[in-house]
Formats: sequence, C-alpha cells, structure tokens
Amino acid sequence: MNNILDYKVGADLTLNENIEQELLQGTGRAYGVEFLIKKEKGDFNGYFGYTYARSELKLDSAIPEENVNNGGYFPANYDKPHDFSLVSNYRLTKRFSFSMNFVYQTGRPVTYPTGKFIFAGREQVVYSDRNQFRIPDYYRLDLGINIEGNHKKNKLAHSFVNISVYNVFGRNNPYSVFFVTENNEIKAFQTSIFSIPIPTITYNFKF
Amino acid sequence: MKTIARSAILLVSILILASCRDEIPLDTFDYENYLVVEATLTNELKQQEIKLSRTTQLDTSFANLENNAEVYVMVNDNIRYDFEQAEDGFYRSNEAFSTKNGDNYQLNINTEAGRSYISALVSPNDLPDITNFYAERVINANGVEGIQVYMDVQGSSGSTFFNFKYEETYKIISPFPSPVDFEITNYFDHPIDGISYEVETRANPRQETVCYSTVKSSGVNLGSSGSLDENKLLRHPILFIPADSPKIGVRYSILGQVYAPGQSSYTFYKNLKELSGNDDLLSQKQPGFIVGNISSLTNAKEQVLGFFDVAFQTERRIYFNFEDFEFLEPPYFYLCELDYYDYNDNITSDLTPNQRQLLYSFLQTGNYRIYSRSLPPSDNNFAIITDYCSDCTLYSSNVKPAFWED
Repeated sequence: MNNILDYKVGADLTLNENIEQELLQGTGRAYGVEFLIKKEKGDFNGYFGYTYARSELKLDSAIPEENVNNGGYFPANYDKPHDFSLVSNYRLTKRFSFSMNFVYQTGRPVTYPTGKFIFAGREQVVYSDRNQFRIPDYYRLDLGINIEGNHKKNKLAHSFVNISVYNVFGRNNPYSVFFVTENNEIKAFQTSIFSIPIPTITYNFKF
Repeated sequence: MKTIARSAILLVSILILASCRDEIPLDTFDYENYLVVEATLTNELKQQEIKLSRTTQLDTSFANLENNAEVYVMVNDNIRYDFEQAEDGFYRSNEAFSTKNGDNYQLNINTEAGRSYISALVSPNDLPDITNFYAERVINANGVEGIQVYMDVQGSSGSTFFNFKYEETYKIISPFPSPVDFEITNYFDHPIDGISYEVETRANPRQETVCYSTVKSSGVNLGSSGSLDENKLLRHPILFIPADSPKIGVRYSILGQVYAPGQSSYTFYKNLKELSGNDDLLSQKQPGFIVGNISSLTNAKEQVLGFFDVAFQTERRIYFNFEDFEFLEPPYFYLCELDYYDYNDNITSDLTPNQRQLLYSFLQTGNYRIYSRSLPPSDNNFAIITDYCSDCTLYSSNVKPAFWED
C-alpha cells in the first residue's frame, strides 16, 4: 500500500492552517488470517472467532528528521494482532435461556515517554520510538439471562425480561494512556469506561 | 415523570463513576539511557562550551551528567579544537575561537565508556539583522500588566528561520544595608536576672549594597518569516516582565540574540518545544523520538539526543526600569521589615516579650544583620533585618559587568 499518511513527530493539528505540512507519506503493509466456527442450530449455539491481523507502516525519507523509527516498519495506530471473540447462547427451557459474550483484543500501540533530560535549561521528555509499546490488553465478559413469560397464543403482548451484567470481571480496560506535564512534573494517566461490572435489566414486549 | 428524572440522575452518576481517569505509576515504562548533546558554537570569540548529559528515569529528579569524555570539533577537516572538561558535564574549548562563514564544523565525542559519536557537518547561515529591539507597556493575554520586549529581524537570503535567545542583567540595591558586623561577647545566663551580653560592632568592609544578576534565557523561542521574498519578522515577542517584578526596580538590561538556524536545526528545536509544552487534551501532539544530527559510530542503531549547531548570531542590548513605563516602584525580591529591640527590656512579667532574650536569639541564628543602633552611651536600641535585605551578594554578584552602562 502506497501513500499512507501519518503525522510528523511534534505535529500539532489544533487550529493549524497548514495541516499538510505536518504529514508524512509512507508505505504500509497488512496481512493476517481469520477463523470462525459457528453453531447455529440446537439449544446450545453461538460462534467462536479468532483473527490474527497486522498492519504496519514505514516512513522513510531522505531527510533524517522526517524519518520515523529509523525508516523501518512499525505498527500502525490501529494494529491489534490478536482478536478473539466467543458468543454463546444456551436455552435451558422454553422460558429460560442464558447468553455469554467474551471479547479479547491486543492493546493498541502507543508511544510512551521513556525518560527525561535537561535541554535549553528546561526539563524535556524523551519518547520511545513511535508505537513501540502497547496499552494493556482489552478483555471483557458479559453474561445474561432471558426470562420469557408464558407462551399462550392469544395474549395481547408477548414479553420477556433480560437481566445481564456487562464486564463481569470489572476489568479496567483503558482506552487510552496519556501523559501530562503538570508543574514541571510528568504524570501518566489512563482513561477507561465501565471499569466496574454494570448490571442491566430490560423488559421487552411484542404485540 | 419523577421516576424518569431519578433514573436519569442515577444513570448519569453511574456513567461518571464508571468512567475514570486514573493516575498510573511512571516506573512501569522502559527506560532508555541516551547520550544528550547540547552544543551551539557561536561567532563570538570565546572559549566555546558544550554540555554532555544522559537521560534519566522519569521519576528521578537528579541530573545525570556525562564526564571524562574526549570532545573536539573539526573545522574543514583540518583544524582541531579540543575541549577540556570544566565542570561536571560541561566542556570548554582550550582556545577561544569563533565560527566563520563558509566553514564546515563537525563535533566528535569519545565517551569514557569507549563509545564514539559524530555530528553531521554543519555550517553557519548568514547573519540576520536586528532592525529593532524594544520594550512596550502592555497587558498580556492573562490580564497581567507589564513590559513586553520585542524584536524585529531581517533575515539574510537563504533562511527564513530564526532562533532567539536573551540574557537579562539587572542591578540590585539592598534596601537595608548593614553598616556593621557584630559579635556577641560576655554572655552570662543568671539564674535570677536572666541573660546578659554585649554586642560588639565594627565597620562592615564588604560591598554588599549594589549587585548585578545575570540570567540566561531557558526554553526555545523560534520564529519564521514564512516567505523568502520579504524575509523579515516584526514584533517577535522575546520576554514579558510583569510590572511588579523586582528585576525592574533599579535598572534592567536585556541582551537579545538571534541567529538563523538551518532546516534540521529548526525542526529539532521546534519538536523539542512542541513536545515539552504543558499538554492539555485539546492540543495533543504526535510524540516521538526527536531526531538530531548526532549519530553513534560504535553502534549505528544507538540513538543520540541533541544537536550540534553553529550559530552566526547578532545581538543588541537595551536598558530600562519601571519608571520608563510609568509603573509604581515594584517590591523588593524579599519581604523586608525592620525589627526593633531594646536590650534594656529584660522583663517577661510585664506581659510583653523579653526583648533582650529575643534580640539574642535572632542575632544568634546568623540570619540577621544590624541595620542601626542607638548612639552611646545608651546604645541599647537595635534595628535588625534579615540578611537577604542587607546583603545582595547572598543571591547575586557584586561584580559590575564590563558592559554595564549606568
């Protein structure tokens, strides 16, 4: 793949009128393999999927300061090599059924500060090569139970209740890790949503 | 309706509780130890200076300087200037030299650990011209009133970039100079009468009243004229001084310096500046390793931080003080208030402090000076002051700089 765009080191896009000056062109490559096993019939059904996928970039330039990672291939921002998902449903009786959803993904690549130094009388941060590190892996398990009402034919509405728990493990899945300089001190933060199990109850009816 | 409102409040609070920003420890990240080179030769005839250090871990606070390295600069591949270590991490050239137009410079470093580094060949760009260097009374973006120093520059052909530095020098006059040195003698502690002592004084021979402080700029200040046709930059901000800054209390001077860096030097400093700023979420910048122009001869994959630059710089100096901008006289660097003590007050029972005791304990600390004393024979009244208000050499220098004009 040619003419893939990525940012220069230090690129600042906020209110920038010349965004094109902050971009670099390079080549990219992507490869991978996918598996999917599906069971559609029966009381026990669901699927299991696994994907191995890589996407990498290369920003090599004759101008040294426009090289990224010495002009070698590095993982793109959205490179998540392993993606694993398992979805299953089990119908216990006509009125009770259970469901489960499990997701696992490699954390996405990130550039971390690896040290600091004094330059021009100020403290400065050294960053790693681009996307040299990864944020922690993502995994999540959701469980649910469906309780249906009686199945009489001539009812006004057929209803069912669903009770489920999102993120049963209470896994703190960061979606970003970032760094802030506060009072000349470097601090690392991670942000996440729903780092505790979230129970939900829904009531549905059809008529 | 009430239930819906309640559920909405519950939902929002769950979202707030559930989404969070956690601080995580820094020591979890890999640390890389890089050599850091800070070297800018200038066209000023002087012993040139180069600083070598190493990166440190994020959670440490000490500097890590690189000592005992062999440092030299080659000019046009035939003249060699050796640098000797002057203090920790700082190397100074044995002879004074200045950079010359058209010459090529290359920095060589051999570290104590036996690693060799070499810079790219660098040659200075033409001198830019400072067309004006001036200060104006302004109210800055934060609503603070003060003095803004600006520079107008005219670039030569070939480079549209500018790198600005400055050096401030300001005169200080101690507000409460101490005419005498003192010594406490004949100290007695009577069980009933309390303490007694004598304060012996003699003239203070030192010059502690007039000082000059010089501070170099820190950080990076860059500018670009944006076009080669009309290669000038007007009203480039150099420094803002608040109206209540003690620096402008007597006489203040600023030396503005500018040179025209090459493209790679400009990019290096620009990235350094971009990545060191206080980040907020709205202006995230692409982080990464800042590529300089120094590489390792020992291991081509080893990364080196820093830049070897050759600056052909122009400078200009201006003087002013608070009166030139019709500001009120700014406060002093320290809070200065005289304390008065009467040696004859040796009684605590009158519900006022025992002044003899207090005077003794203050003088004993060594942090106080006698500003005045009543005349003999009743020379028992003292006015004392913290030493920072009477002796400016504690935080400045009493040596008048050669360039200084009163």
